[in-house]
Parts: sequence; structure tokens; C-alpha cells
Amino acid sequence: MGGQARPDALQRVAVTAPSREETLFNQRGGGQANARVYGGSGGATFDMSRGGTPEVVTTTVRIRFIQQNRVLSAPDASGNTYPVDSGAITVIPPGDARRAFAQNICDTSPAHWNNRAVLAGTREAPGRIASLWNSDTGGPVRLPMRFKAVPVWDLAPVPADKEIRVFPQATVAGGGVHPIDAGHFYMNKGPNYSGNDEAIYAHEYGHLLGLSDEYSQSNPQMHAMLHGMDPATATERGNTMDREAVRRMVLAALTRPLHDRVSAATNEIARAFTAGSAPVAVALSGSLHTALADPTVKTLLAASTPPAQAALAPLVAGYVNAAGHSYANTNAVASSVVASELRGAQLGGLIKRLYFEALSAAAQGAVDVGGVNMSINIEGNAGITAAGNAVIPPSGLWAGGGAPAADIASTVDQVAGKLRTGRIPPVRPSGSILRDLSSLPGGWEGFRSAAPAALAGGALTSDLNSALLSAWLANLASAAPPPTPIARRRALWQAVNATVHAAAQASATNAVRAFLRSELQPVMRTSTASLMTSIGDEVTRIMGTPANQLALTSPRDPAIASLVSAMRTTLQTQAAAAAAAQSAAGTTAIDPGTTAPAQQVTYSTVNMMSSNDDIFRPDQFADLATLFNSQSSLKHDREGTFHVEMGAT
Amino acid sequence: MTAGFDLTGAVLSVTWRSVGTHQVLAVFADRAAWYWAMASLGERSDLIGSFRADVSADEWPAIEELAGQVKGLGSDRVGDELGLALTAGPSAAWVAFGSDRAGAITSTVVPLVERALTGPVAAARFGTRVVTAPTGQQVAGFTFASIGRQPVLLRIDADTFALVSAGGDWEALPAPRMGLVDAAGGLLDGLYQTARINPGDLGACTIVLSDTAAGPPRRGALHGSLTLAGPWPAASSPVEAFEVSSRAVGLDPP
Repeated sequence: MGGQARPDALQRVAVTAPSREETLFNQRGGGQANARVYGGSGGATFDMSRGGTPEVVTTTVRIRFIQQNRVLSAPDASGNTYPVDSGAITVIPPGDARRAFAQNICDTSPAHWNNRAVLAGTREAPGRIASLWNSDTGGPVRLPMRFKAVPVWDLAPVPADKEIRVFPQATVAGGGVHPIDAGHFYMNKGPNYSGNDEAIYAHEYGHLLGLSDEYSQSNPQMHAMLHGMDPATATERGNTMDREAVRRMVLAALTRPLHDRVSAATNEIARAFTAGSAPVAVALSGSLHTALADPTVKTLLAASTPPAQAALAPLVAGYVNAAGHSYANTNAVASSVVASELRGAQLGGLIKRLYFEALSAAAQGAVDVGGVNMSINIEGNAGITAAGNAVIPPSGLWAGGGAPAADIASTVDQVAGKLRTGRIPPVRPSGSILRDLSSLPGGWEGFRSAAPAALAGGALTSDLNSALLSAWLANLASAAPPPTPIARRRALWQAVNATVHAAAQASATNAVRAFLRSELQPVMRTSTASLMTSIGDEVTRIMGTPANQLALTSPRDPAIASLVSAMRTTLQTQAAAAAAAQSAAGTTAIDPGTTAPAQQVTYSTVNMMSSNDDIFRPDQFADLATLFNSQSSLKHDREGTFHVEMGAT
Repeated sequence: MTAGFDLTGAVLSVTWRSVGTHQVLAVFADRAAWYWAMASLGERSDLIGSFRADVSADEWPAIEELAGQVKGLGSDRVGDELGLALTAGPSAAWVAFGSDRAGAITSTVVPLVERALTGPVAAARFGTRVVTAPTGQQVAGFTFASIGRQPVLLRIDADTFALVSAGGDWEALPAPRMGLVDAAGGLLDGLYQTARINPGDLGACTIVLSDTAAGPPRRGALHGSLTLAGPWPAASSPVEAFEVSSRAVGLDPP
């Protein structure tokens, strides 16, 4: 082995990784996000070492864990107080349980970073003369990257990279006094902190390596980040990102008018549903008969009946059985519930909420940008509450964003259905959501012979069980005085019948609501997906075609094409303003620590440094590779430059 | 993209928001102080809703003075620091917890919060029960008792029902198909439609526990959304997400 690399030797060097100021567009309001600059450029210090068998490169951050009290300031809004570090900083004594706790954090948080990346390089063969006594033939060298956090128990001036106060088991985290944050860890998380704070610690560990946050970025910042990830694919990924941004911007401009149009037609839909509802009532009635005959349901019904005197108690089971067969508690309930749930106001509320949910789902969520998951957020809102009620004017791009109103109206006419004119019921364009919704009852006739899943006997049985258990529990929890035992047969029958009727009513109502959701949701999702496809087609044509050839192509949908063009201009204008402000002096490179004008679209990755997910990229280890390459004591003879490859080994 | 509640009409607003905490106090020109609790840690983790108190003539000058200071307070927040968010009309500010400024602000507004809590308008107290049903099944029950003078309107997120063990482990429960039911057996819902729980009433939702459920739970928790009562038309009421949890208690059937 003489003259070969020294795989078992350990070299340790102190290094400083560059850290950067960062600009986050997280000051939201008025349909846009203003920028604020955070952090510092003082650098992140830690040790790097190389050693072990097989060899690994280990990054070690020293965290000083200390004892310092937190005291109460003035009470907060919920009667708690605010946390303030107070009093002397002291050493956590040896043997104190906090040391084991802190050690565990040091063991687990960096572990999220392990087995993610490898430093890959090559060792050349020795020269001709050296090869006379050196059998090493050189070859590839792969150094898995490992990460550690080492506790420092001594106070300054013993060096450390980070200070954290640790609280013992006797102190429960939570409330206004003891919230868990980056500088305060608690052995006893208590019942209020059951979330994955290990992931938070792992995110914080990334900052200790010099990494910045990756959420609430401007368009130029995210383009720069894509370039940092991989220059070769940055343009393609950037184009994908911009296309998706424009797609969502167009949807934002359409959301409120689409929702308004569908909301205005809920009575029309309700009339169509009511006209075709007879098979639904038939199916529901049959399933109620089945469910009320279920033995467990009967047991619960008997238990839910007000108590009877001992002499009458044996009658309860028979009364339950009779009431369960009553027309008033089955067929009549089914008919009245179906009629009630299909009324305009009732059904309208459901339609408005579900349509808003469908539009929201299309506007949000992560998008795959060439293998990088990303969230693209259109700032502002449509002025619609989560319940589907339009309560305030839309803001930002949701208010149209300067897109031509005529093109928005034309698109809404096509997607939702034109405004009703003349004939009643109005004729809606084929494929419009209003036409599709109004047509749903055409498929219900078969329910006379086979109930749909949401209205099946099993579903009704489950609902009856839930209704009875919940009512039984509500009675227990209400602590109302127990009723006087019933002493007369007629009163007992009335009580049993009332119990059965209420349970049938509740379960039938629930089943119809579940059924309506199962009918409406797919139509709304399909309509929204179709709209997004249409927008996407125009986005691809306009943004993916060279300018000098664009005139040769014709839009599939001129109105949507116009909206796409308008939003592309808006995006480019805002991105240009941000780029002009954030470009480093004398260059076109983006300085992430420079503020910029407010943006209407912001970007976040799905990554450990944004959403705390266990997702990492090679560029996040690039500074470590640079530091490694710059340290001659970490590299062996004849080794070249190392680069980052993802993987465990 | 969902419309939140707009505080720009308030003379002064103070927002407490961090992990597990979301509370807002807003004082309006009619000298009404509205307090909204969407999520709280500690003793009030079971309380959500809209509360109101009147601002006395003695208290009003301090509110106006504080509102006048908001524009000059700045909004420099460092990292994940905890603090108070304030607004006064279009002006916004942020003040770190523990600072003298935060102490002065809270000493001004907390008496209003405490008084508002005694005047629930549309509010609910959440409860968790673990009981043996008449069928012999072990059942987890989640209840909302309406404690205000107006109905409380809420929706519950079916995928967030959970029990917490004494050791702090969360057991996510299967999503229920049926929402809240009142003591008379009426469907209040909350899953498919917004549940409306009238003052004094209680809605319960039950989930049958599997045989493998580990140990007696210590707490129950769930998320949802709440319609906020306030100085706006009922039809325009904003809807905000809420989180509740409470100690799990047993109940002895009679």
C-alpha cells in the first residue's frame, strides 16, 4: 500500500461557506408581494474532514447548547405571556438529561442530509518513476457526504457555530412562554407540538451550511436558482416555469367571472336536478329500508329511545321494528330529503363551493419543472371565501390583470355557458359546465334498479350508525337531566317513532349530500382540467414558437390566445422590473440580497430549504464541493477536482 | 386565492400568529373591539370563534395613540422571530415579542381581549370524548358546543381527525362520512355543508375506534374553517381556517 492514498487518515479543517443575504417576496397585500431582505453575508463556519473506511467527507457543525431562562413578559392575547431570554447563560451540567436530548437532535437532524450526495473525482496513476514503488493505478474516487452536528457544552470563548437553549422535561413547550423556535428546544414537547419538528431542525441545519431559503422568490431569482441547479437545463426549465406561470395567471383572471357565471345559474341547475330526481328518491328509499333493518342499527335505535318504565321496556324492540318499516320514515323521508337538498339555495351553496374548490386546485399545487417540483403562487385572491361565496372584489391578477375584458367574457361564455337569453331553459353551448351539470340527471334513471354507491344500503347503514352514535354522544356530553321514564304505550311509540324518523332524516340527508358531491365534483374537475389544457395549448403555441414564426400559426382559441398574450406581457414586465433592480452592479447576474418592486407572481421550490421536504439537489452541495477542492489537506496526491453527484454512495 | 378577512377598516388591529396560534384583535371606529380566536396553544386550545367587547371612553385614547404609532413602528422581522403584527388603516407594523414595545402594546390591548372573551358572539368550545357505545364499540367523539349569542358556523376537515397519546404520538383517524349531529338526532353536518350550531346546542361527530388503537388517548384534535362574525354583513363574512384540540375525557353512559 506504500505510496497509495491514505484512506484511513483523518484530516479536519475549519472552513467558511459563503452565506448570502436573501430577498423574500413575502410581504403580501393588495394582490402583490413586496420584497424584504433577510439574513447576512458573514458566512457559515463549520469543519470538513475526510476519513474512514470506506472514505467519506464529513461536514460538522458545532452547536452550543446552553441553559438560560425564559421569562414572562406582558400577557398576550390568550392570557399567556411572551418569551424573553433572561438571566445568566450557564453550562448544562454533565449528567443532565438535556445533554442526551441535545445529542439526539445532533444525531437526527443532520441525518436528513446524509446519503444524498457524493463528491466524485478521479485520482491519476502515479508517474512512470513513482510507479516503480507505487502499485496504485489511480481511478475514480467517490466520497459520500456525511453531516454531523456536534454539541458544545462549554461557554464562550470555546467556539461554536450556533447557540441553542435547551429546556428540561419539567418545562412543557407551548403557550406564550415556551414556543419552540430555532434557538429554543424543549425535551417535553407536550401535546401541542406533535408535528415533525425534526424536519424544521433539518431545515435550520441547511442554513448552518450557508444555504438560503427557497420560497417567495421573484421570477428572476427563480431563474437564477434554476441556472444554479444546472446551467444546461436552466433555459428549458425556465421556459417551463414561465409557461406554467402564465397558465395560472390566465386562470386567475378567469376564476371570478367563471364562478360568478356558474353561481348565477344555480337555480337553473336545481330545476334540472329536481325534474330528474325521482330515481334518486326511489334508490334512497330502498336503501333506507335496508339500513333500518340492520341489527346494529336496531340496537342503537333502541338505545337512543328515551327510557321507558320497566314494564314497557320489552316493547321497544318491536316498536323500533315497526317504525323502521313505516312509510313516513322511509319513502316519505327519502322524497322530502331529495326535494329539500335539490332546492336552489341548498344546491347552489354546494355548487359554488365545489366549483371554487376545483378552480383553486387547478391554480395551486406544485408543478413539475423539468424534474424540479415548484409552487407558483398568483398573489391576491378572487374575493371568494372558502365556502364559495363571493364577498369582496378580486385583487391583483384575479381582478383581470389588464387582460381584455371582451376576451375574458368570451372565454367564460364558452367554458361556463353563455348568459341565458330568450328560451327557458336556456340553451348552453355543448361542453360548457352549465350544460354538463344540467345534463347529469339524464344518467339517473338507472338508479331505480341499482342505487349509486353514495346512496347504497351499506352507505345508509353506515350513516345511520354514525347519526345514532353521534346523537347519543351529544346527549351524554350535553349533561341534560335524564328524562322521566315513559309510562304509557302511546308515548313510547311516539318516542320510538321520533327517534327512528330523526335518524332516517339525518342519514338520508347525509347520503344525498354525499351523492350530490360525487355527481358534481367530477364535472367541475373535468371542466377545469379542460380549460387548463386549452390555456396550456395557447401558452405553448405563443411562448414556444419563435416570434418570426408565430404569425404563421393560428390560435385554436383566439380569446384564450389573447389572454395568454396579455399575461405574458404582464409577466415579462414584472420580471424585467425585478431583474433590473436585482441585477448585480455591472452584470446581468441576479443578486438575491437586493430588493425589487412588488411582484404579482412568486415562486417556491419543493425542497428541504423551502417546504422542509426531504428533497435535495446537487447545487445545494456545490459550495461544499468548492470548499473541499480548495483545501489541499483534504485532497490526496494526484486527485483532481471533485464534483457533486446525487446518491448515497 | 381565498378571500381573507380585511382589517384595513379597523382603527387598530393586532394579530398573534405562529405555529398553532392565530388570534386577532381589531378595534373599530364605533368603539367595538372584536377578537377572533382561530387557533390557540395551552388552556384555550379548545376555544374558537368571534368575541366582542366595547371600548370604554377611558381606554379609547390609548387605542388611538397606539394606532397613530403603527406607521412609525416599521415591519423589520428577522428570520423566524415571533412577534405581533399590527395594522392601523393601510399602515402595517411588526413588533418582536419580548420587546418593551410589545409589552406596551399588549398591556393596552389584552384587557380588551379578556373582556371580549366574556362576550362570545359566535363561538364554540371543542371537546374530545372516548366512550363505549351501546353496541360495545369504543368510540371517539368530537364535540362543538355553541357558546355565543349567535349560531356558530363551521366546517370540519374530515382528514384531520386525530387522537394524541400520552406520549405525544398522533393517531390519524379515518375520515368520517358524516359530520356533526345534535342531541335531537338532527344533522348539523360540517362535512358537505357548513354546520350551523345554535346558541346552547352541541354537535357531535363520532368515529368508531379500531381494536388496535394504542392506549387511552390524551387529547383529540382536528382542523376546519370558521365563519367569522364581525362588523360586516353576514353574507360577506370571511371564513378562516381553525385548529382545535382538547383533553380527551371519558363519559359514563347512564
